[in-house]
Amino acid sequence: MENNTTVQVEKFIANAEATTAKVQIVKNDPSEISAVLIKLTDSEKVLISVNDTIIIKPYLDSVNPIFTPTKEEIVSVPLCVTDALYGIAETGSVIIQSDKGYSAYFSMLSNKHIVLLNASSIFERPRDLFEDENLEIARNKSFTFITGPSATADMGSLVRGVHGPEHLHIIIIS
Amino acid sequence: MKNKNYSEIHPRKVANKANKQNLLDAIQMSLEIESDAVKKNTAVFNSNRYSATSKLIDYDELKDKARNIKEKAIDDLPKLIEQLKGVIESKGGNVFIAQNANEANNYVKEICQKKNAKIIVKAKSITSEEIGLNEVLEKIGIEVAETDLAEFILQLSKEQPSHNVAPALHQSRERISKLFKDHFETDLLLETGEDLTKFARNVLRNKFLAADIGISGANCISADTGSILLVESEGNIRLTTNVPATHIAIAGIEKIIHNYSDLAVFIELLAASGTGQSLTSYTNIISPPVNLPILNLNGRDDKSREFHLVLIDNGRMKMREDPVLYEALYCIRCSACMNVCANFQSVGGHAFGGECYTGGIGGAWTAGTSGDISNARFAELCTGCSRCIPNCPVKINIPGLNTEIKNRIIKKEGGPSIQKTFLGNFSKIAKLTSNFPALSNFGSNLSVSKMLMDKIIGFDVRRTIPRFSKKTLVKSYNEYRKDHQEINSSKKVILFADVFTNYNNAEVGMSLIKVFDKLNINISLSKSLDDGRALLSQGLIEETKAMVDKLLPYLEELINQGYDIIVSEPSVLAMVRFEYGNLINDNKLYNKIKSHCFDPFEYLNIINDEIRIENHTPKNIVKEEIVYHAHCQLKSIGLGKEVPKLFKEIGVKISETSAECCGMAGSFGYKKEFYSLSKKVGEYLGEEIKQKKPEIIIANGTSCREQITDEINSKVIHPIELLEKYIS
Repeated sequence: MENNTTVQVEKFIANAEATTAKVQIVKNDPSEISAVLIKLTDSEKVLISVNDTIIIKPYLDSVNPIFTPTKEEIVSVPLCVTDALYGIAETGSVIIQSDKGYSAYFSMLSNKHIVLLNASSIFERPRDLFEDENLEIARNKSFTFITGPSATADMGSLVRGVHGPEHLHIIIIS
Repeated sequence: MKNKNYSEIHPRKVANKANKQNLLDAIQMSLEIESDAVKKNTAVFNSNRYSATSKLIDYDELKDKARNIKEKAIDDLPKLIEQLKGVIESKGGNVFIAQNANEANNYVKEICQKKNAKIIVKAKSITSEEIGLNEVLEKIGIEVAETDLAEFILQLSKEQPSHNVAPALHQSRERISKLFKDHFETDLLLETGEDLTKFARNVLRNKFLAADIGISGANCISADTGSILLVESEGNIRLTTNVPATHIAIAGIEKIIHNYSDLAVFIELLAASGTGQSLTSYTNIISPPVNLPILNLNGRDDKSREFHLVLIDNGRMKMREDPVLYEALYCIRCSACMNVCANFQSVGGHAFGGECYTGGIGGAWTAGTSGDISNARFAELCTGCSRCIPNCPVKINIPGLNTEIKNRIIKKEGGPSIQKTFLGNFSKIAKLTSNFPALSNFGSNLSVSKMLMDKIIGFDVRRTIPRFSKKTLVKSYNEYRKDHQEINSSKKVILFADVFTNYNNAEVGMSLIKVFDKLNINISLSKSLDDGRALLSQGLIEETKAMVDKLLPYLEELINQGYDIIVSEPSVLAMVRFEYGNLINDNKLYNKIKSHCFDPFEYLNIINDEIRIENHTPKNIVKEEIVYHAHCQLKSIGLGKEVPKLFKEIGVKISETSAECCGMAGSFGYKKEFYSLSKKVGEYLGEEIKQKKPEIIIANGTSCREQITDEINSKVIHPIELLEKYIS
């Protein structure tokens, strides 16, 4: 299992980077995770939708975290941190739940999206998520596979950053 | 047509192809102003698809699964509609089943009125183009903001989509820049893709924040859970379906499948087949009701979320009963058939398409949803090259649908044109004129005869009329055998003297006979009979069947006598191995014939362990730059690599073209009305070949050789003629 996870993580990183997402691996330690987050933070206010806030406690203490945004904040704060339900190695995708909380909104309205992903939640292919009845998404069936920043080729060349975020950072917690 | 300027022709004006002149105008317009952008964009999609599908470890199995899921779904459609309705309603959503466009539009209109909507944001939905939803809403004063950037462009330019996945595929950056500057007051330069995207994003972000209702389409809907799959790259679908509290999804009834878990198949296949990605930026699954907090960003006071699914029949149930066109209902709108199509690559969907559905699959959809077969006249642009078939994720026989459409239009219009009759009955004309080849070669290219052919048959005067061989293959062979005995070997092989090889390419046939003789294989020549390909290309299905029925007993007899049959003309081989599957009722007989007919290089590769081709050729063959253009239909039956494979055995490296089809496609390029399109396709191929600076050009199709020769003015030979050169 250990080896298998390592292989999946490596594959995930290669494929996510191919979509121009930035990927980092961090040890499961609040101060280390927070240090990485602080480096990526270029906004005083940060939209936060993370289930287990303990793992980023030092970070939350150092910024102005917004958990329940006002109308103004949700459309103007350019940075968000959310967690992901799962990752997909073969495609470099992260899966964001979109039927509760603010993860979905944050990940579609902000300019930079930082995602926390557990290394143990990485599956090989999209289909694997549909085969396991025990998974969260088998019960709550609204979610999005996010694969790189938003993009278009409609304007004559490939452009990243359209209606959704221009930057996607994935932090894999090992 | 010649006097018209493209600026007088607007895509909308020529969208209705029931009028033949509209089709011709649209081709002219597309060639003049859209071709370069279409070619560039389809080329990217096409090569990305090849690379993405090659990474799907079980691509073929996935296609089988997808086909199976869709077949079952369309079989059970009435039941699935009821099940889906029940599931969504039980969860508090609304389902409306619209019999036609009017009913659908009225339903959406009523919701908008009830909600007192001023601004609606819309994600891409070709189905909403089918029903003309925007005009209906705009008429009652509602602002409809198309948020997909391609649809945003089309809304400004007032054009119809030219492609399913990328509806503004025909637009160049320069044209978009001009369009934006004409419509918006701005000091921005708007030169780069980034400039344009940022500009459109800002315009549309404000629409999202002000929107009262969001309208989307659906890629796929599972009946058991009421879950909708929506695939996108820009993020506009996520905003459209979530930011306003009311979401209306519009979908054709054919989008429903049985099971939630089967969505996985389409998630992987759609991305790979459509844009050629492992996944697009956002693959959304929405199972209403969605419990996200309500934002009311525009100051509304919506207290709860509302979801409406509008399921549209509009001719689909009738299509389901159609003995041939029902197959189009399996389509998942990935556009692979368009990206791989040589004609589509040159003109796009404004010429090769109707009011909203485009490309090879668009004919059946236009016929089915508009209820008039004449609207699908653009199916004439399908040459039957069949490159779409192996690239379709649900394995639809798209050229088969288009042959049927051509056939129905012929019947509706009171019988075939002189052109179709002439081209379809090429074998009869060839037989007649072959008695006087010198005279007919001389005569047919005289300006007077050409003028007559132009006027009466619609044969383009700028083409060289195919030359007839001085002696037919049958005659040449009989003379040759007087001096050269057949080889005595355990294997008995017979070359099928198809019409094209017999009358126009006797030298190719003779070259093949000599190669097999030298390799000590017992080879003889069959009678020359028509296989029906020429008739089928014209949509003359009944005549084709009659022709095939005449040939079948002979082929069966040859097989019973122990012969393996070699077919050197790829279009004839594909006819026998693929098309006969739909033309012969006796499946056992079809399989028997199919398994005994071979491409010459395929055959040599199969028996190479016995013949060891490398023992018959010199050790060090002088290296020459050789370019091979594989015939489209040969590639589609999986035999595109046989020539390079055999030459590799004797140490000869072959460089292959990437062009899907030469554009001549049998008789297509000779037709006066399609000459310039065919030449455009040939031009792209010619450029590719020229860049490789070849010393030798080989191509296995008769019409490929004619097209390439026409284009770059150098001799093109059949691969077997090159092999003959090497064999001692």
